[in-house]
Amino acid sequence: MNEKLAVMVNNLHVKYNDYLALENVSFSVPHPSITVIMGPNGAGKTTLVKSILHLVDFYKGDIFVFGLNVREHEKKIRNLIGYVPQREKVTEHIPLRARDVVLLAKMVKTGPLSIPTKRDMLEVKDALEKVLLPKSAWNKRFNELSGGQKQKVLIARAIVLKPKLLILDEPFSGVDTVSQREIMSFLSSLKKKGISIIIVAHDINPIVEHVDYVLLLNKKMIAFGKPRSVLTEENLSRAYGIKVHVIVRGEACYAIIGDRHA
Amino acid sequence: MLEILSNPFIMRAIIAVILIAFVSSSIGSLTIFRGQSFLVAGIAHGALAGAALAIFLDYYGIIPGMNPILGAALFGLAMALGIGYFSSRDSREKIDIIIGISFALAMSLAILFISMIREYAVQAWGLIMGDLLLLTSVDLVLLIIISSVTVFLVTLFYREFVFISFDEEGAYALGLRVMLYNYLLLVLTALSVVVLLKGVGAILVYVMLIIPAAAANNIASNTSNVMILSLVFALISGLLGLAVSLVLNVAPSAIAGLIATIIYIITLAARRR
Repeated sequence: MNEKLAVMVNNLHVKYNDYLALENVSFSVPHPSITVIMGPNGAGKTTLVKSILHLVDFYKGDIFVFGLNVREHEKKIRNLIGYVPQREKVTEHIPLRARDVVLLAKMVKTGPLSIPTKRDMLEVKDALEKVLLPKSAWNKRFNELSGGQKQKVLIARAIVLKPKLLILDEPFSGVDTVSQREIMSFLSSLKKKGISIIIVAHDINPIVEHVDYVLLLNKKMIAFGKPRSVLTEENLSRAYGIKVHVIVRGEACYAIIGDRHA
Repeated sequence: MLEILSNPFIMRAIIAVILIAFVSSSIGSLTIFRGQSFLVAGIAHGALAGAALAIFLDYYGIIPGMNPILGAALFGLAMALGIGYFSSRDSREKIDIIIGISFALAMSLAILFISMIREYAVQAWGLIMGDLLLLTSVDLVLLIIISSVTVFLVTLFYREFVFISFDEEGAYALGLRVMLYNYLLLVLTALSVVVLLKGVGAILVYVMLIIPAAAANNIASNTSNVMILSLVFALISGLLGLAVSLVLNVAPSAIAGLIATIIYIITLAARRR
C-alpha cells in the first residue's frame, strides 16, 4: 500500500455506450488532504468518483487507491473508501431511523444474522456524535430529518466503517449554511486524523478555506492543484464556458460563477 | 365452532391464511421498501399465462398431464428474472415501464391461451379468482415449503435486502452483491406469488401480499415494525375474511381484500394526522 497518495489517476477514459464521459484525466491526490472536484453539470464529476470506486468500468487508463489498482483490488479498495452518495439517490419511504441507517452499514459488513454488540452500538453513537447530529434526531425516521441532518447521517454511516478515504458526492446540495460549516469543519478534523477527503461540489466558495486541492473538470481535466492556482478566471471560464470572476481575499479565492446549482 | 374447525377445507384455509400472512410480512414489506409493488401484479399475471399454457399443452396432448402450477412457476420466474435483467441494464425509473410491458404481454398470452382451451378454461379461471376453501393438501404442502424457505431467507439476508432498497449505489460501494440479492428477492417474490394463486387468485394476490405491508409502512416507526404490523394486518384481513365468507357464503379472498383495503385507508388517515 502506498501511504503517500490516496488516489492516483492515469490517463482515464470513460465511455457510456458511444458517449465519452471522461477523457484523458490524470492527477494524484496526496494523503491526507481535502480535494474538491468541480465543474458544470455533465462534466463527469460523479463518473470520476464512481470510477475511483470501480462502480463504472473505464476502457482506458488506471486508477490506484493507496497504491492498489482498483481493477485488481476492488474488494480491498471498497473497504478503504467510505462513500456518501448524492442524497436524492437514497430512498426515503423506508422507515429507517437515523441510528438504524448507521447501524445497518456496520451490520451488513459483519455478515448475516450477526447481533449488534455493545461495541457496535457505541461506535454508532460515536459516529452520530462526531457529525454533530442532535440527539433528538437519532430516533427520527430518516425522511423526517432536515437536509443537513440527512447528510450528517450519511456521513456518520460512512465513517462508522473507519475508512482511510472519504468520498462525498455533492454533500452540500440542499444543506443550510450552518450545517455546511459544521460538516466542513468535521471533515477538516478527519483530515487531521489521517483521512483523505474527496468532495464533488458545484459551489466551492463556502468551503474553500478548508480545501487543499481543486480538480476542475469538464469531461477533460481543465486544471488540478492548489485552489489559488486552479481557481483563475481563465480556468473557470474554460470549464464553465461563461465569463467567471474571481475575488482573492488573503489566502482564499472566491469564484463568482453563473451556473452554481448550490 | 369445533365442528367448523374440524372441517378439513376450513382448517386448510386457516393454515393457508397464516402462511400467507408470513409471506406478506416478509416479501410484501421488502417489495414496498424496493418501491416495486407493481411487480407482484405483473408476476401474478405472468404466472396466470403460464398456467393457461400448461392447461393448453395438456389439452392438446403436447405435454400430457402438465401441472398448471408448474407452468405458472416457470412463467412467473421467467418474468421476474426478465424484469430484473432489463431493469438492471436501464435506469431505475424505468422499471415501472418494464413491468407494465411484461404485464401487458402476460395478460395477452393468458387471454390467448384461455380462449384456446375452451371448456378447460374453468381451470384457469380458478387461478384468476382463487378460493381459499378449495385448497388441496398438495397446495398446502407447496405453500408450507415456499413460505418457510421465503421467511428463512428473508430473515437471513434481511439487512442486506433493506440496505440495497435504501441505497443501492451505497450498497455497491460497500461491496455488497447487489445483483445477487436483487435476483434472490425476485425469485422469492415469483415463487410466493405462484403458491398464493390458487388460494387468493391472480387479481387479489396483489391485495394480500402488498396492501398489509403498505398499510404497515404508513404508520411503523422502523423496518421491524413494518414486518410485525403487516403480519398482523394480513392475519386480521385473512381470518376475518374467511369468517365473514363462511357466514355470508361469499368468496373469502374478496372479503379479505376489502378488509385489507379498509385497514390501508385507516393507516393512511392515521399517518396524515
